[in-house]
Amino acid sequence: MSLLQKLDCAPQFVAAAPSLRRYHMGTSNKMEVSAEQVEQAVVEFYRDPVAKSGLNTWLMQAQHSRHSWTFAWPLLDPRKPEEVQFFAGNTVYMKVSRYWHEVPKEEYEPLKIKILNLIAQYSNSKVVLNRLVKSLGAYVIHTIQHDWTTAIQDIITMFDPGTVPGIEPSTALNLLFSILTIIPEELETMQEAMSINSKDKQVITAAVRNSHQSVLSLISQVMQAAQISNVIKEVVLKTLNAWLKLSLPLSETRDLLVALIPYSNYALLCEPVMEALRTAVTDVGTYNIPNTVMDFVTQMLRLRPVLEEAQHANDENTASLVYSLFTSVVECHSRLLLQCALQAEHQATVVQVVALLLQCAATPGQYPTDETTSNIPFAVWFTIQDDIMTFEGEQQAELLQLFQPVYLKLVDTFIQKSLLPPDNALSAEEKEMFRCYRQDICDTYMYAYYVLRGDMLSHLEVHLKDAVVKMQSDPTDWRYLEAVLHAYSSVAETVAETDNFYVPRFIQSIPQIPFSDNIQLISVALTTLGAYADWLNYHQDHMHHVIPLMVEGLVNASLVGAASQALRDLTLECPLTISPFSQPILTSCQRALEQSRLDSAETERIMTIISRVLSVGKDQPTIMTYLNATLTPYISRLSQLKDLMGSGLSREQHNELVSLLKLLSCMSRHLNLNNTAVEEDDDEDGTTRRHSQAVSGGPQPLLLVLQQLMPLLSAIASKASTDQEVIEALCKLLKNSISTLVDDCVAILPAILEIIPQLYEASLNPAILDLVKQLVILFGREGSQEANMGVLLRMVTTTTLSRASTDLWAHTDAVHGCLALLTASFKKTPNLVSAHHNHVAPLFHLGVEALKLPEEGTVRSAGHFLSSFILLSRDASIGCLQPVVTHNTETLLRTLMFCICNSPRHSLSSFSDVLSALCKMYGDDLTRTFKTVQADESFLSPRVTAQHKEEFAKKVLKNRGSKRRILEAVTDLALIGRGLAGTDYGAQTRGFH
Amino acid sequence: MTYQLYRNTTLGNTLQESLDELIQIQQISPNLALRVLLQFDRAINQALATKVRTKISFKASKLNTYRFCDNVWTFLMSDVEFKEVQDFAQVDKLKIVACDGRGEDTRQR
Repeated sequence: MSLLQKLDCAPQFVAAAPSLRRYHMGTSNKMEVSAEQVEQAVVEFYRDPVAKSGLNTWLMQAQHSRHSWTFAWPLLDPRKPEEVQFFAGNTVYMKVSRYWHEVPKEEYEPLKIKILNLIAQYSNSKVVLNRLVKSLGAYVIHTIQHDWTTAIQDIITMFDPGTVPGIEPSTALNLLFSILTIIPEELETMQEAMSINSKDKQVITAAVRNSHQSVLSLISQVMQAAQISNVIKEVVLKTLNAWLKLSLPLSETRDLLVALIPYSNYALLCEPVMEALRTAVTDVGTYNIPNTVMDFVTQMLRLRPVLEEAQHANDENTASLVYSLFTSVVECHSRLLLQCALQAEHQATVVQVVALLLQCAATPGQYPTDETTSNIPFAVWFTIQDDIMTFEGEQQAELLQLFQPVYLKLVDTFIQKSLLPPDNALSAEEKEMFRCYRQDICDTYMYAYYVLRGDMLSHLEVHLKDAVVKMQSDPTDWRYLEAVLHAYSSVAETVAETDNFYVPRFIQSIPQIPFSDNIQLISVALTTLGAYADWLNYHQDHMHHVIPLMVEGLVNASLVGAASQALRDLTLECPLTISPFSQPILTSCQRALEQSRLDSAETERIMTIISRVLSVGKDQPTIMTYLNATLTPYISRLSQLKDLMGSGLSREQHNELVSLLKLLSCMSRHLNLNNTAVEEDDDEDGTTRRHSQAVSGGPQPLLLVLQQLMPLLSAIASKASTDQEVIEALCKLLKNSISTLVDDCVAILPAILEIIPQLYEASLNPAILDLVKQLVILFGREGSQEANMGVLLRMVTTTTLSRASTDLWAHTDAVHGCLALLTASFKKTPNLVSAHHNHVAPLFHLGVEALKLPEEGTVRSAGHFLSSFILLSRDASIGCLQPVVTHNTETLLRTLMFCICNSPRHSLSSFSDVLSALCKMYGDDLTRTFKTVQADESFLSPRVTAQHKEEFAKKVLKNRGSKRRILEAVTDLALIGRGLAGTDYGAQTRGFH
Repeated sequence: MTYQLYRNTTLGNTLQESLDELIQIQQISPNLALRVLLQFDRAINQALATKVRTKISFKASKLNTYRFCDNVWTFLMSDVEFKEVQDFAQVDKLKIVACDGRGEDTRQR
């Protein structure tokens, strides 16, 4: 009985009917799919765009059916339309690769002969041939282990050019190497496509690899044959690369690979030769054969003439390939190269390799318009530096000495390569590429500094002097100076704060630099100085060199961005050391606010600078006078906008209102007289409480400002109670104020407590809940405010329950915020939550319902809330929680199990936490509840059986002390509930959560 | 080296959710889902290593915890300000998980 006859006896294919009548496969009975039907369907598929979708489904079903073993062969006929032949070829590949289990063992040989004959028949038809060659590849993989152990040798013999009847020798050779390439490639995909497990994959790979000598020998012969065209040799090199990926030993491939180097002179062969060299030298197996690798790398240096020739011919492509190859070598073997650099016999090789990459970095011309190769070795400079640091003692010193000239040269190179091009020389896309390139240079300067330390700063100093001289002689020649400042800025955060030699000299030289009113240059200088803020904090005596440039910059409309940025950095890093310069800074800030048309970010930065400067060393009257002068125009404008709100604000006015609130928010965050002298005391309960009273003893200036401002803020709140942007800005302002004032904000608390209900009842914005959380934590346990906080919490929970409970999906962020607030309250002020008994059960239900929501944050918040609720419920002093848990254990357990099987898996740890808490506090109740749930057969069926539920219950109850094991049990149930248990995918994604 | 830590990102989680769903409605096999996931690992590791050039610096008021385990650094910080050129962002808590970008199989240790 032939294979086809056997397969005809196989169960008949039944498929869901597509909408097309002609291809109807029957909804109620079994019927055959004939080759004619398939042919017609394929032809129509390509002709009729309307019917495409339905036909596609039908054809796919036909392809997967057992019938396809029958209909595919007659369609592989050169007289049939090409698309029909392709479909048939594809079908054969799919069947051989994925449905191998359908082939009876005695039909292996006929199937092989059939495929081989078809390959010979289609040797000139590229498209169909590719499918057939892949089919043979899949066939070899399925049989090489036991049934066709000599497959590779047999194929080499079968397709020996000149011996295959009816096929041109060159075609036969092409065919042979195509097959030899496909086999290792199919190995790569077989695990997923052919359902072969990883253990079998290893065995099959070893079986294929065993034949590598005959393949390498064949490749060697063909590459040496002068009469064979480069087109064929390109295919041969691809075969070599495919086999090298099987991790062939370098000791066996080295001679062949070295012999290939001369072929890289040919444009067509250069890339495959480089690819083969790269695959061989970067293979994981090479880590165990350092001597062979070093010997090979030495041989690879024979590529230098190829590189020189490419450079001579302006052949960037070949140069890039060679440089990329050596970059890969260093990235892969950097530590080995460094070890060898310490040995006299290998040092020259290492030096030459590194010199080659330095040469690459210094490729002449503008990046990316003139060249795109100098960026290739960026990663190498980090790798070498990083690995040098892993050596110790004398070895490290020797390496640092060896690489010192390399990195100094690199610094010179980068200064040249980072020169800004003339204006408009680059398109927008090229500018972006150049920006990234400069960013990489910036990072590499940092690595160079780790190798060079003071030598680098000394080197930069020489460049700085040269650049200043050039600038003095020709003010238009400023780009060199800009590049040097860029280099200084790149190492700013890396230089040690203890450097007392080079950095001071650089800072001192700033006032001497002839900027010639060059905006770009001054901007870079300002940014650079801002970057040295941390160093300046330790060197107050140098502050006077930098402040003048910054304060001047503030009043220049073109420089205010960079100057405000630099000064902000300085005021944040050096709150005390900047104090002596407060007057000129404040004056300039005032002028900047008055004169320039600033954007909101710049205004906020200036407000930050003012607040930080006023926070140190000023008496209250001075501060208030300055604040009055600065804030009055903004508050007046805010008041005007408030008045206009009644009649509706324009988009511009609305944005202005939000910007003004953000501006005040900046002030409230940074205007803190205790910022540098925060005291922390333990109160009688052992908790830490910050005192905000100003050091001078008087109230904080921020409090005085806010006392005047609160009526205005209340009015804005009442008018914008549904405007989310305004609410968020307002809440941020109040939150920052409370953080700064801490206990002192009691004075404005009544006004805040009036604003919050007004806003929350109109809009369930989570920013309001965040503010409430801050207040409850701060004042929830304080005698005088405890009652107020209780009222506030009740208002929030009542409003959330009444508004959000009806449609949780629409208010997921409010539910998230509310549950987070309650969790915080459970931990810090449990007295407040339990004070309102009638809320406790509805809140528990809200938490349970929230577990079903899709948002990870909300589910996590619900998990924390329920866990805290359950853990606290056994506390005798809070008696109202326990009955709620006891009455709802089954609902909670069912919800948890349902969510474990159905909700996104990243929430599993939240479900597990709740289950752990339940197990810990209500173990006996849970045992009973598990039994009830197990008895309900319909629950979670059909995937989760009663036995699964029983095993889950056992695992959970047995491991009640171990959160990790309960999470494992939860993960197991999640995989069962999704039908993923036992699959590789399920195993690989166990750590999902 | 292809790290799997990006599976626990919004993009990775969403992809896995989608794959879970496609498997359950029998649109794809678990083997294909695994292949997609491995491709995601490769693609995101490569893209983040080669395509991203944005530099963001940050400063934290407090480094609460740090650890180095299995070649992975973990830092937990609070009150952190991020700075990208002239933009700022403030966050209360930050967790950084950092792996060696070059990976183990590309270099000899």
